[in-house]
Amino acid sequence: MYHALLFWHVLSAFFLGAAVVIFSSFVLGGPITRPSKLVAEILWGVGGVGTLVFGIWLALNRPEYEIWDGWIIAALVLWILANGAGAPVSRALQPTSDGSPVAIDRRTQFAHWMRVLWVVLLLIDMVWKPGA
Amino acid sequence: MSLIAEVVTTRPDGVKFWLFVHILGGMATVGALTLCLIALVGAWRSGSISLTRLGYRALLWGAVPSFIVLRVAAQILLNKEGLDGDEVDLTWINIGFTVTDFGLLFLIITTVLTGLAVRKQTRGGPEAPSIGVRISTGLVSLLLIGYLIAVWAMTVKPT
Repeated sequence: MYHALLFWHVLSAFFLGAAVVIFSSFVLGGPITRPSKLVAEILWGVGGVGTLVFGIWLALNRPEYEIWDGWIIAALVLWILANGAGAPVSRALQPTSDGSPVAIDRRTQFAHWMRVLWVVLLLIDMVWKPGA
Repeated sequence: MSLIAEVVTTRPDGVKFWLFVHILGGMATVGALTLCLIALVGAWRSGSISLTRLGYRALLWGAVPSFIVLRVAAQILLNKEGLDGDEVDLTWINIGFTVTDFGLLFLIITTVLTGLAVRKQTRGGPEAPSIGVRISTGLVSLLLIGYLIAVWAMTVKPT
């Protein structure tokens, strides 16, 4: 059970990572097409829900972890921050009919790179598990 | 504390750092390959040069460097954990080696083919997607399936 939960949790984290890479290409001036935006949104959504659900399930499944452990609370806060930063980016990045690059304002760029930072900090938290 | 939790939480910081780099490299590789796949599928359907170019850049600037980071960090991790000896025969490590070794070969072939497709289209080639784009799309799909198996092996650790 532990390994199955861990697999789905890590796979969800890889979906989040893939979404971040695709959104980074949009912010860096890559073409935004309807399918690429849709795939990025699905990866971010599925990855976000998956990491949260399987992460909490893992914490409940393992006797040595508690949901109120500092590193798990930190992960939940970082997850909320990442999703908070991602919402305006998703709204601002709209696909063009011919897939040509669109101008991205500074605020959207800042929000995106903050999302990248929160996701990297989430990974650091998961690896080091401070306080565990 | 269970054995699993003890192993996970009592790793030295040096090992944790390289584990972090290894996972980050893996995430970036999978992300770049996913971006490449979306772009190449789009290029296959529309013949768009901008999408073929995006696929090529995702491989050259994203997948190749992050693959190197992933593989180097994996080797350092194995060394630090004492798992790089000839006597070590663990299924999950063997799966990792198989995926990354064949993955590197596929990655090089795909990058070259996609680069040639970009060059052909830039020189005023046909609007229809080249055979290179189609082969690359298939190879990138195989690479992503390989990485899915690798993620499974690294987490479930079959023996």
